[in-house]
Amino acid sequence: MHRLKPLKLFTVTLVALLSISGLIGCSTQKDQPTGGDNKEQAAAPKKDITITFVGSQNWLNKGSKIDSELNEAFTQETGIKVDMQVIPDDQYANVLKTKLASGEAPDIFMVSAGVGAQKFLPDKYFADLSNEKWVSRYVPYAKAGSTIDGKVMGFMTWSVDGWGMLYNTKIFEKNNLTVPKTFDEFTKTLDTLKANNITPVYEVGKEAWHWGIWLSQMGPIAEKNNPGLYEKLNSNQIKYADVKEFETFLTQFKEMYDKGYFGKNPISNTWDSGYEAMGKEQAASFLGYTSYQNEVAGKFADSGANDWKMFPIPMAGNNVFSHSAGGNMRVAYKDSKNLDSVKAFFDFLARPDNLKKYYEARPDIQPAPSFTDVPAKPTASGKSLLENAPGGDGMDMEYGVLYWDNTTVGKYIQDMMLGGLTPKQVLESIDKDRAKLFSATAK
Amino acid sequence: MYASKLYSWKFIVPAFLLFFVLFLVPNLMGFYYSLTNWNAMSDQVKFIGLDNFIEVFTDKSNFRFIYNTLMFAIVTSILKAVIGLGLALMLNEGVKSKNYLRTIFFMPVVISNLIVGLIFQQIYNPDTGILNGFLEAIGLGAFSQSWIGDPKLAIWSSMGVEIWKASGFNMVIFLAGLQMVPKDMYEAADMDGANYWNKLIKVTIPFLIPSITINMMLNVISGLKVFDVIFALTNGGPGRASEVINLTIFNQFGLGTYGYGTALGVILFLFLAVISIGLVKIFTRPEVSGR
Repeated sequence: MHRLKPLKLFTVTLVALLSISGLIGCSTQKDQPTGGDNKEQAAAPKKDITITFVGSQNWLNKGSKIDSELNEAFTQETGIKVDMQVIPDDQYANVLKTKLASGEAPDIFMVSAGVGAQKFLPDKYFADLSNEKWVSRYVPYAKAGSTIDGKVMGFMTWSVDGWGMLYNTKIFEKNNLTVPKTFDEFTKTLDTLKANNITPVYEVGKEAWHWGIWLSQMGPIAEKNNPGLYEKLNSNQIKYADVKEFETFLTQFKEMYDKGYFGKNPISNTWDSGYEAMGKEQAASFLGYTSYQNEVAGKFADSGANDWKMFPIPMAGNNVFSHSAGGNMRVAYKDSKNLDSVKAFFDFLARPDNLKKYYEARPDIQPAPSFTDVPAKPTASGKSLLENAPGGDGMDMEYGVLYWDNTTVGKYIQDMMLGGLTPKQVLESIDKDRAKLFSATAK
Repeated sequence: MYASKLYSWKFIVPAFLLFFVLFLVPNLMGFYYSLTNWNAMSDQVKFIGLDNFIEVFTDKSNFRFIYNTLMFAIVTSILKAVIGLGLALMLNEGVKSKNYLRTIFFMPVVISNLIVGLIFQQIYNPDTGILNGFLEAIGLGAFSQSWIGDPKLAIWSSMGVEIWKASGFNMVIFLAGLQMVPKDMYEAADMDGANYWNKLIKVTIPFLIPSITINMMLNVISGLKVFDVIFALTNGGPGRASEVINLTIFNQFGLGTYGYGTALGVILFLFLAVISIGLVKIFTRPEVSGR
């Protein structure tokens, strides 16, 4: 039997180990910034600095190239390059978590505002931006949505939006219908529409998350009736199954499904099919956000969608405008070598001329901009939603309650609609999922 | 003399190191993490023993995805093999244009599973889909269904897509196996007066045992590991009616319960290992004794 000499064996092993470390090294170097240290940057931004920026597809360059254009303008002005990486929406959270966990945190990354940011460990990864000059120009919702544990941790250029029952005013007028304020009035309205062969409420039921959105909107009314509810839910002192409003809502929701208010095959309806159903007057109402009517009008110019109005979901006694925490925000990585350059980038984006340029390119987020410098352009549905909400406003559960997941909740609701779960069991299933995370994070 | 032709075991060191670092270490780490509470909300990873595994098997709502996964693997494995064998037997004969037909039946295999899922979403649409449209056109409108909207049908509709897609792959393996059957065996059987079925059972099938083994093994493994077709077609819905284990793992990771998701992955791995080894043992026995 031939044997390798010790020197040869050593050489073979060394080469193999070097190859492996080379492979591993390649992966960790990918997103390393090329800038110098903090001291150098504090004096003046260096020309060879590249800041890495990761965001979800639907959050960047939507309907325009505005994010890329502003990045380019920043580079021309400062010499600092912006390497913007766009990740598909459904993979974004996992990709970002992987980057953070593997020590490859980008200099800037985007996260949901409100409690949605918690899953990315703000204490560990988010820089404190409280002392930045632009914070003083935030509108209240933007400051609240980007504040975590008393510190402003996000740079937000978005719009607060909410979900409500968007209705075709022409169909309502034709059938002598007015805005329903209670569940009884709502069912009478829907009965009239159904009797006239119009789908009363179009539900994009194939999208599990959309079912979850319905229940999420019941948070503000439940909070109003039970002050401190969100705080109790977030500290695991109360369970969903214990909240009367949620069970009432689900019971009424099931009743609506059983009575056929959502049409013939709501479980098969995709998100995109909603535009046609509403745009071609096949359906009279839809649970949408306030800028949804602009999208319908864009696709069906003759629909008159720009005149449609909204009212809060009149179920379980709800009369509150429920809204988000402002969508999403850019976060600076706390330990980034390029933190000063990132702050300079945020300063650049926050300049009134750049904010104006940004919002002009994004009609979908013009109803309520994050900065006082930019005038709000509310839609007809946004205005009417506020008018039809005597109970005031509140943050929905997606943005206000820890560990809320629209898709998971929506799947339980789909199950309920198809007879697999009772309303109480839906709430117990949500509680069970949350219990896992509370138990995992218990100190 | 023979021993001198063997290379030293030390030659495997580079390959083993790569295998160890890039495969074994991540897998062993996976085993470890399945025993922890690893999650998205905290960087503290606590050892919790078998708690994740106990929860998997005590949570009654999990029985559905376990049942779905097993049914999917069993039904699709058998039907893909039976249809694949039927196609192979048909296209092994002197059928005109058999080469074109072989290509056509194999074509679904090369289409991305995600695209297949999206195409069948349209085909199965209860209002606008061509399946219900076809049934109505031939007077069988009473059989129209909400193929992926009905919780009782969704998993079976998903199986139909998988069978449609992968039967061609089974066919190719069987066609290769059929080329190994000696022609003189059929001639001898003819002389003994055997009919088609006698020849199929007594001559063809015994020679196809290696092809059946490889097909069944690949079918069962791909059936248990199914993800993309169901993800694109039903996303496990409606509700959780067509959820399978890999989709549950994906969802658990999405929720941030990584330790629990990893435990499910370990269960799937053990399951696959046991079934694969079992299948090899079952199907190789007649092959060995036949010699």
